[in-house]
This record gives sequence, C-alpha cells and structure tokens, in this order.
Amino acid sequence: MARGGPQGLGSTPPQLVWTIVRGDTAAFKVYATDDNRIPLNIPDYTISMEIKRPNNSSDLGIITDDATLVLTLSPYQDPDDEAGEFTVRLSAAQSSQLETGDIFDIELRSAQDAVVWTVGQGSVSVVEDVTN
Amino acid sequence: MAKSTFYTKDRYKADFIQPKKYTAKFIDVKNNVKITEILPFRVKFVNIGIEAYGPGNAAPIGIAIIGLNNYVM
Repeated sequence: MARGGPQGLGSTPPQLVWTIVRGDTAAFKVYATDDNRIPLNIPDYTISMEIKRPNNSSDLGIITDDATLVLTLSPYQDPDDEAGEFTVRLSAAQSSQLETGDIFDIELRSAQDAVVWTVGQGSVSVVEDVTN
Repeated sequence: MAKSTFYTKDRYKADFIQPKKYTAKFIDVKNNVKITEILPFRVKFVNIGIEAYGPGNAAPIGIAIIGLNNYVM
C-alpha cells in the first residue's frame, strides 16, 4: 500500500497497435470477462468502434478528441465466437481508407448505458501494398 | 565519672531531591484503509488468420498490445 502519497485508482485501457496491409481484409477477436473472469454475455452489450484521423499531424497515433471520423465499425458476435467473444472486422475497401496514425477505440455499452467500458484503444499502422 | 558526648550538627544529610520522572509516549492512532479496486472487465485480444511467424516470434501483422495492462488477461 502506498504511504504518504496519493494512491492511484483506475487504469488506462489496453493500448493497441493494429497493423494492417492496405487493401487487405483484417480481423481480430476480443474476449471480455468480468473481474472474476466470467465471460460477458455479449448480446447484452452494444459494441461500437470508430476509427478517426487526428487533425494535427503531430497527433498521429495519439488518442485525441481533435480528430475526424474515417470509419465506423460495428463489431459483433460471430457464429464461431464463444461466450464473451466478439469479432472486429475490416473489409478490403475499409482498410484501403486507413492511414498510419489513425486512432480507434472499442466501446461496450449495456442497456441504458448503465455500463460503458472502453475495452481497448490504439492506433493503426498501415503497411503499403504493391499489388492492387 | 561524668561523660560528655558531643555531636556535630551535620548528622543530618541533605540529599538532592530528584523530580519523579514521567515518561510520555504518544501513540498515533492509525486508521488503516485498504482500497481494493474492482476492475470492470478483463480482456484478451486474439488475432484471426495470422499464423505465427516463427518459433517465439509473433507475426508482424495484426493486433498487438503495447506495454502491461491490468485489464489484459
């Protein structure tokens, strides 16, 4: 226990880097549980994800409000997802729109926003392609 | 035969009077507080369709977590 100083509470959401190849499809799964590691019942939550581009080049890759929307994704529970899992997918057309330094976060909301969690936030790293 | 005894006046000895010593000990009453943080969730990120690049080496494409985080399983 900390003595003689402030004790920190709360944590920064997991910080992610999503590396994609321009024009490729991309996907990853998120497995979410409560603190006791009981899988969340994903249908109880609305999952949203936005990818934005910082308005200032000095903010590329940095989480900021000063950014313009590039894509809105709707992660969902795939048929092959197990309890607590959902999938984030990017189509080829969507990945073509992204640039290195774009930022995103993934948010879970329960009914009436009783619970709102940012399960991860980060930036995109785009590998240029050769074959169109 | 008569006998005379002479006493000196310093039969009575004076000694220093020492003050009784009182020892004071101050005990700080400490309120112990234990703060237990409940994490709202725990999470794991899993790449899809990306095979390992080599023994012990993750593929460079896909989702990666930077640093340590309490939320990550």
